[in-house]
Amino acid sequence: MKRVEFEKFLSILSTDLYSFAYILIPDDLQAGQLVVDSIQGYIIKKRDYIESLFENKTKENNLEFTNIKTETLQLVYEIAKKRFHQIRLSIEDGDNKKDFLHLEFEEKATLYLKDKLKFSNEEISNLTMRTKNEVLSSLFSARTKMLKIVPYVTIVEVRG
Amino acid sequence: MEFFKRTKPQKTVCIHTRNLISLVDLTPKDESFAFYNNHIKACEICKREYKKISEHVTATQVFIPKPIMENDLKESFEREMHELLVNLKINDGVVQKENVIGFLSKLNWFGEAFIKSLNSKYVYVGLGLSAATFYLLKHYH
Repeated sequence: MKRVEFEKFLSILSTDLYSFAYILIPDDLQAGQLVVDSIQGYIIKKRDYIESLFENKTKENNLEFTNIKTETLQLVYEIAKKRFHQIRLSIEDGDNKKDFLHLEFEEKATLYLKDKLKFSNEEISNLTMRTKNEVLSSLFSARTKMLKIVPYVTIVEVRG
Repeated sequence: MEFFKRTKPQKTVCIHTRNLISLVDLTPKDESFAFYNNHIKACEICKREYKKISEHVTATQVFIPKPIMENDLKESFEREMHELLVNLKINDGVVQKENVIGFLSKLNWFGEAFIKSLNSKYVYVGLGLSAATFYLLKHYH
């Protein structure tokens, strides 16, 4: 793999990282910066590993790419958790809106990883560094809230 | 007596209904999976309710957004990543190594080609012509 290919991979990866970052901190610039910081952190932390990928001439890098994706998502989560509590007041609009973005931090993260990025409970548990029961509990409360946010009547009406 | 004969009362609520939503995320490895799974097979109320919950949960997926990075932001991200990788000189060691290997393999190729050419008929023809020219020049000059 060459640097150009790695840059291309990062560009593709940024799509998932950004959407996850935006879910956690609903602000364009904050989310963008979060992605940049996470990748920078990852590259600095795993420099040797990345250089070994550059030397690896085989094209079978899928497993490595999956690892990089999981680890960078983990960094996004870690950094976002710290920043969210610092800038919470500045990004909250205070209008008590009820939608997915207004769920609790852990609930949003868990439900998004599960439903949109298709991670298993174990993977979410490793990524968010919480026990499996905590993950299940977050999923339970997030889903319960989502069911309240989107009433069943609406779904029946939409279906006709 | 028929009047007093008691029929089994029809169950209208079940205490497990409110926790059924957890079954959506449980896997067969989880402790409570077997319990809820068996329960919805036996309890009509929960069976009906679980079907409704599953449909409802699937429908809520639409309300989970997947934000997309704007083009400007994406371009600036790609630029930053490029600069970062260049500044960290992350690929330079590999490039230098490749250059050295490339130079040495070229040198090796030239060496092999030279040795092979020593044994070819053109070299013998050349040597013969040189010897003939040398002889002619020495003899008639």
